[in-house]
Amino acid sequence: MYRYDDIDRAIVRDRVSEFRRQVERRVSGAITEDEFKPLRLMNGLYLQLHAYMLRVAVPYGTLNPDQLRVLASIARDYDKGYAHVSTRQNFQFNWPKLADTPDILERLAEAEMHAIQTSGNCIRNTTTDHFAGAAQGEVEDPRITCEVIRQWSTFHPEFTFLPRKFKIAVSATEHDRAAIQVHDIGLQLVKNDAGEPGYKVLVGGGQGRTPMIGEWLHDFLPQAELLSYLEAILRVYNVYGRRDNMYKARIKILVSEMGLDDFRAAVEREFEHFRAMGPGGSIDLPEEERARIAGYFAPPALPERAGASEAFDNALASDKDFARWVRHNLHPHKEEGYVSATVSLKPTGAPPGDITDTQLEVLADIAERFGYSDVRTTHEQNMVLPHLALDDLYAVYQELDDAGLATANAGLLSDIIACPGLDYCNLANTRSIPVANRIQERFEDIDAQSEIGELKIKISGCINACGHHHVGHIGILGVDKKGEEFYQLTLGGSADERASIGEVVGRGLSTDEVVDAVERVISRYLDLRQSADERFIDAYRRLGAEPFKEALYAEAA
Amino acid sequence: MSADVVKIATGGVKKGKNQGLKVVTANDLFTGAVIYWSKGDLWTEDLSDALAVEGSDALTALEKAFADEKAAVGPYLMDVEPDLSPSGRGRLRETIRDRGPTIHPEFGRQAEER
Ligand code: SF4
Repeated sequence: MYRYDDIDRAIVRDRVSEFRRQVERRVSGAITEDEFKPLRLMNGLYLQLHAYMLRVAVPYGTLNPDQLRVLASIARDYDKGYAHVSTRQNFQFNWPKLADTPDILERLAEAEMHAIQTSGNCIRNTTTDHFAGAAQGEVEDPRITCEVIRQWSTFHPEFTFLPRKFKIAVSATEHDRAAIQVHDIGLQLVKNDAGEPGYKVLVGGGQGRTPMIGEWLHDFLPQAELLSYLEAILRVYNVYGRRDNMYKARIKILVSEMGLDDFRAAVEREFEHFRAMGPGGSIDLPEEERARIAGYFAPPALPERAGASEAFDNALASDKDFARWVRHNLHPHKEEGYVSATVSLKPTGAPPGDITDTQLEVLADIAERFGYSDVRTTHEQNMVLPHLALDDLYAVYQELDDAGLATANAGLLSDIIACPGLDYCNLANTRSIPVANRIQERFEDIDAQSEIGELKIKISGCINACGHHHVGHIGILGVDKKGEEFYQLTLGGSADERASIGEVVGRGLSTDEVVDAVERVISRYLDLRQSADERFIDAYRRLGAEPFKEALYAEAA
Repeated sequence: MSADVVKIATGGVKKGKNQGLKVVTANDLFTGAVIYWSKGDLWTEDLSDALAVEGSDALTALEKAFADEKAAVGPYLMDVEPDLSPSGRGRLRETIRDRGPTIHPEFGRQAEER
């Protein structure tokens, strides 16, 4: 993985001491809260309902065991013994104290981590496929691109005060696991006819109050021109994006107000300006620098192995729970004899994405002993061990299981994304996590979930859509009706290469009604599907919303 | 405009009117803990010790709370019943702020009573 150079180390250290002095000045009264608030937000420190919340950046979701141990130590020493994986592949701490924050940041800096640009109207953490570097069919490891973007966007002086926050995602496989179509910019790594890698560029996707699927801005951008093209897009957005109304300030609104053609023309004009400067005059990376960064993402030295493993086969035959976990939580690896495994943070009844200090340490140990010291966070609020030998898999599973980390539900209906909602969030209308937990309880039997098949349920406690409800196969949005919690269902959303925004179906449902309603939609699907291979989303695409709406409201009346 | 129809922030992004019984609430600057303005112009973590006020008295209390920047962040007026329990549209939000997250009964003030 990428390791800090002297420049990275210096800017992160400087930032910590700067923030320490800012906190001192706030406490002494030398600066007001209005002055301090943007400074703390630039360092990832929010104020939620009960406490501060610190959001730690996890660039493209990649962590090593030492970093996991540092996160565990922060959870233990400064928080309440747990941390939380966010839908931007970051970590959040829910209870830090203001005075401790500089020390926390210092501890993070020692492990090459920080909280910079995890808030505010700047370019946020670039996210990617959590199987990056391990997945089959990759054009190249997408994290190389993410790291190039990280270096370019960190403290970029021109883009520190954009009209709104800005999110970029990168995918390097045909199957999109990074939700690139619902990002401000989505980059799809592809090869041209000559076999050279480059990018298809999407712009103007997003969720929130006005969900939109991104539009294709460029069919093939040579890799060498990535940064000047991104800079051109950001420059157009920075100049023309709306600053008069925060709800209309995202780039998706600018693209739709300008129209794609005019927006593209404006970007091309800026792009030409960079091109005219010629090699060395633009902001693009010299090839040797790109190669240096790429070197950090060289695949781990995986010993050659056979495609089959006797140890694995024996365990599979003798342990039903292991077989269930294998069935749902594994993903094919590009090397024979290896797999990637999803470490589910969705046991029934626990807040989706929470992980304790002890569990973080267990995961660090497993990664060190069996996983080539590589761990990922996922935007679906789970974690991943990307490189595991089939021969080691049973031992890994048993250790995960002992630590409560072997729930066999990846991709099933209890693998729910839920935002923090009204249990923590200052902006929430309703709670999200208790709804997720009640759905998990209703469908607790994993074999019954397995029978239902892949089903993505996503829950947000308000229209900001941090829980990605717009792209849930079943989305649930919390709405406030005169102080009571109500929930609006959307159906048919999807965040993959066939991305779609879910359709709002009917009136809001009360807290008491919502779980029954989800169950009715699911049983209607089971009645209507053509075979067990037809997933919920496939059946929805074939049949449309109507039969599901009927099921929802006929009996709810 | 009389004090009872003044538009006020009611926490988060919500707005409301200055009508009925109010308590000034904020977060403690150092810990982030939920605090309430009480008699003697002091902050308390105990809602039952809070100062309940109405109309222009509520606005005065809010002004004083705002002036106390060294202790508190983001004061606003919340609705309360005469017994000082949270009421109105923000009832659930304020109950959760006061007690703690419903998904973690082991944390927050609710834990102290277990
Ligand atoms: S969706 Fe709304 S309630 Fe949920 S975390 Fe985001 S802002 Fe808070």
